[in-house]
Amino acid sequence: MAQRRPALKPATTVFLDSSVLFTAVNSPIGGSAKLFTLSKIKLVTSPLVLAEVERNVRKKLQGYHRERFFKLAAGIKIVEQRPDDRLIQQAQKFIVEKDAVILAEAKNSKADFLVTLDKKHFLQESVKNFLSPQKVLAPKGLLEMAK
Amino acid sequence: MNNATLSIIPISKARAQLGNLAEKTRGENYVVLTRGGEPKVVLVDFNYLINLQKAVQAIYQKTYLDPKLLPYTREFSDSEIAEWLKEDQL
Repeated sequence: MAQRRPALKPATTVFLDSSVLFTAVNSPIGGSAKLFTLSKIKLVTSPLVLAEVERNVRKKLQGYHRERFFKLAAGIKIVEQRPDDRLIQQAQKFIVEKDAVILAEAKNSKADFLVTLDKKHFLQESVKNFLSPQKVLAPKGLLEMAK
Repeated sequence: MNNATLSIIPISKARAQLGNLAEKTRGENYVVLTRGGEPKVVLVDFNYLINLQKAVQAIYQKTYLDPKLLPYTREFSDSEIAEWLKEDQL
């Protein structure tokens, strides 16, 4: 029998990685978009994630997605941080190089949770150990905790 | 549907009727002045121009694309975008 996840504490901070923010823009009916309807949590992200997502929204999606991106971004607290090259190098020991920047950003934000749709690379024991005491999970997992 | 009317007139002829042309450029109506058969300048309603500038500014001013951050970003592949959509389904 599956274990029920513990409930979220009030004012829990949740760092959105690029996959979650991009997908929330791309699909209004998925778990990522639903995160924006939760009042119990505070969504945070970094200027780097916003830049990466905007770059890809402009390149890969339609014009109306850009408008949705800005609307969603307005509901996220942007943490004031710049990429930390040393932390990125450390992160590379725990995750593939392409994802090390985002992992370092999440660590640097000190948010309670990192949410990601990249199960293959982020939802690994090595990543969990690197982020501890921060937790990493998929939007579905967080939604379950918010019930 | 665009209800604007367009007038095209050579600059050489426009000089003599500038007052009338100014009257024509109300709202979205504008006048194209040509030289040697090619469009050279356009007379537009002043308020229309201001509104147009504001609209363009509103569209383009907002961006998180910081040139200092772009080297840290990457382009997503179509396959990972599809995978994220699948994983995101409730």
